[in-house]
Amino acid sequence: MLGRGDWEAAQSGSELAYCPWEVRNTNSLGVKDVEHENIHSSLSSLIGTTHVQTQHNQLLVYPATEEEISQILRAASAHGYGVVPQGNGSQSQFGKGFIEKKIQLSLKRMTGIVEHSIPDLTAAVLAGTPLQMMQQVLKQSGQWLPIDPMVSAEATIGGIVAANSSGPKRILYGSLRDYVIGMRIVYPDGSVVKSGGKVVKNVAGYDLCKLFIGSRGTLGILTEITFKLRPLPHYQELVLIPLQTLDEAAKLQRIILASEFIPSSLELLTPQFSVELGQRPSYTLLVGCDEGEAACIYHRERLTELAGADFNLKRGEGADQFWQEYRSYFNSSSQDFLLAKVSVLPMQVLPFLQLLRELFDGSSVLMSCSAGLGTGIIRLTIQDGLNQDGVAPKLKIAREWAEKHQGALILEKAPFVIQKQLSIWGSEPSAFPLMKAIKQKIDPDYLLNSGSFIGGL
Amino acid sequence: MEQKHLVRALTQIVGKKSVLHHPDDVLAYECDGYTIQRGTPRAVVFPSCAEEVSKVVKLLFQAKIPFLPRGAGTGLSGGAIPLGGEVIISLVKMNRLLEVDFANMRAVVEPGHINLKLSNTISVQGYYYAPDPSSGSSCTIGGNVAENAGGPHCLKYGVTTNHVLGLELVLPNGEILNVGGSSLDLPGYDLTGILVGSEGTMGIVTKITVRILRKPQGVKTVLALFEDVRDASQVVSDIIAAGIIPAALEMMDQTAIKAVEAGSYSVGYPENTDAVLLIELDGLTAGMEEMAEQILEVCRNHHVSSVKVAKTPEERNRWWANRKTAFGACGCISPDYLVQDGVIPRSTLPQVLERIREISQESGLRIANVFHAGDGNLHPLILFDARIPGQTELAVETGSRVLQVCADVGGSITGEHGIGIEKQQDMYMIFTEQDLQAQQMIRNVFNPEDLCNPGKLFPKPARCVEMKRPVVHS
Repeated sequence: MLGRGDWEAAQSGSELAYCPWEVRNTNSLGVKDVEHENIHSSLSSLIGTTHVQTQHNQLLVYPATEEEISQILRAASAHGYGVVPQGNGSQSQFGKGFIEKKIQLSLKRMTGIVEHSIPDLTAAVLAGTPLQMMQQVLKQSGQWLPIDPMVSAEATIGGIVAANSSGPKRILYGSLRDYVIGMRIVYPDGSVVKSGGKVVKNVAGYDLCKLFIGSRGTLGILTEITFKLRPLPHYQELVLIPLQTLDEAAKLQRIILASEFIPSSLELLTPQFSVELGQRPSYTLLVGCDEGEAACIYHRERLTELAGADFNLKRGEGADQFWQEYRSYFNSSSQDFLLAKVSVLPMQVLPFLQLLRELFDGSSVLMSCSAGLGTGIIRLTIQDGLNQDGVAPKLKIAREWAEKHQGALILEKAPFVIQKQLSIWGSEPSAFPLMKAIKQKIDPDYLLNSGSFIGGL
Repeated sequence: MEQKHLVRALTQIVGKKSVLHHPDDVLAYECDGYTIQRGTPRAVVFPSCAEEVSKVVKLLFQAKIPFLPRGAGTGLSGGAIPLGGEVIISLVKMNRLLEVDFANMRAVVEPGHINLKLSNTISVQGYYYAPDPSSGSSCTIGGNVAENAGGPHCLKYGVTTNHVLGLELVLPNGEILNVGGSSLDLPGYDLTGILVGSEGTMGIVTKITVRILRKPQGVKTVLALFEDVRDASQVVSDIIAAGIIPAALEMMDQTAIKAVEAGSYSVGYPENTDAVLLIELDGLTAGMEEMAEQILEVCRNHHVSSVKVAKTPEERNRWWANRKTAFGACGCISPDYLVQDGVIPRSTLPQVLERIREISQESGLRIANVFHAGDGNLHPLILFDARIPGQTELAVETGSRVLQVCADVGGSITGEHGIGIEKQQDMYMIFTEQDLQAQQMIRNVFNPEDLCNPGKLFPKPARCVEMKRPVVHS
């Protein structure tokens, strides 16, 4: 039922790089129109005409309840349509598959905090709730969900969980898989499944939540997610140390990771990125501390011993503002923008940066990185000039290196000109057959977001 | 396959010394830490590497003989009990620490490696492995993976699943496979996440990559005694509300205190003590004094009768030994006991304790409460005497009633001990048929013929519990 074409087949018209299915849909108008009318009226009768829209010949539905989602999935299945779930669409460029007949299912109307148990430090949230909105509510009780993903203000919590997004503070707080304690999911057959619960410790049955975190909407539609929360830090500081060489960074990385430091971030910015964020044109090491004022002072003194007193300091809200600017850098709406996420072991991060330097040395494209020295996660961006030959081959070499070192390089945002030369996900892991078997068991007809995950899942 | 053929085939794979099959020899494998039900295994094999596990599993898979993995046998929900003549694949010989990478903070162990041994080995270099179940000195990390084991320090650092990065696994058809890895966020579905806590129903783990942590610079342990358990409950809530996440926050009630005081590691709690809190802070020493003072203040605000900070590591260890041996110590005050494991939202602690007290009165059985109060994980210990006809059944029923209370306040029926065979029917307290089918769908991907630890974890169509020998006899 789904035309899951390959990258090559759909590449005509690079200005439409992010929505190539439109190119195809216009090819055979007659039949498509009738089918479109049928499904449109069927959906309208289910959830009301105002909640079914057509934009650029594309069906968009806005259900308000789990029940409506179930009905939409059943209708889509009956009409031979695929369904692509989205929150606010803020990350929807990511790993887009090619489905000829599809319905975009937005969770925009499923917004709000269902339950926030302040003394229990837990909150159940509807999947369409923007993370920012959620954090604002939690903040009033001195709590937060300790994730700082590189997403825009409208990004929804459901989308963030589906993409398993994280940020620099992961070194201290961990990632979504450490905070999701329960979920409600609409399965492709329309049934509603609950996994986990609302308590912070729970080993009853399989931990299905793990399967859905980072599953890119290919297995089910998340409708409600329950999180374990943390108290907001009373005080935080961010020390920004300019460094001339990667060797200096390597030395500090080893010392900080192997001693008493409790960094809430440990990121190395490349010179290009440092300049963008108002720092000197050198490498910048960011060392955060969320452990309270006395601990922050201690951290600062230790860093002075190790690296001298020539650093910048951001305190409290100043640090928050810095991170906000930092995050916005990854949210370019430019079509000529690439964001790759690389994951390697912490001790491979600096060798990887060295490799990138060699690869891009003398190249005219603007490549910058923020490298998590404790997490091993590197965010690599390239602005402008992605049409030039040579960018994709360079990234391919970088990916091969990462994969050889037990890591991965995935494209989070990339124009089509890159996507046609370089796959989004890279090599399939050895356990791929099991992943495929799970997809086929849960979604045998490939109804959900098909083709957008690794290996065409 | 006939028994003698099976034994011969197994012997060919693992060697004569690594197969037990005589009824006397397999007696010790009739049950694990859950002793109410027992069954005789067809044989017990002790493979020494993944290839041997794979060969054994392939043989059994082809012959359609059920099998189950077993670590140290300390599990408390009966996950390693052979109820259907399974061959037990014991992983105790696969106990090596294969690799420690301090710079990247990773270690690779075989499943039979003892939990505490890992921390002890890497302690000299200043590292440790965070999940610390009370049975840490004997339980295996493979078993911890199967049960997603917790422990007192999981309040701040998370349970096993938060520390496992990758696994090598022998699938129920004998195929060897790797999931996850040592880097984070590898592309694809999080199979490691779904395997941890699957109670040996999806395959046999043969290698585990874990995260190790740097030991904190400072530790402060506070012991607070209360004459009213409700004050202690309130202190738990207030500490968390003050924005402090201690490394551990443990509580014992009066009956539990009687038990630990009768045990081998008495602390000398005064007679009138109704509840004890054991609170531990860790992290940078800078600022820790203030945080400890804040905790002392919270305790004083709630009529604490005595509160002190450990002065020496010995004192701290004594307090912890007292707490960690609480289950066993119940044997000193009762002929038998049944360990329960439920989770509640922390805020419901006072009301749940009250309900447990009522259930205790109604059943006529004493209940000692030992719990990880910080994360709402209760361990009610139901004290009974199996020699009195009907008391074992009454204890089981009473445990189930306690679980129902946990479920009613929005909690869970197990926080770290697992479902095994003990709580199969109780699954309906928190899951619908639909939820359970979704879980079984995944099991069927890994274990389509249900040969690997069959008949566990999921409810059975009809309840049929045969009571055999009672719980821990002391």
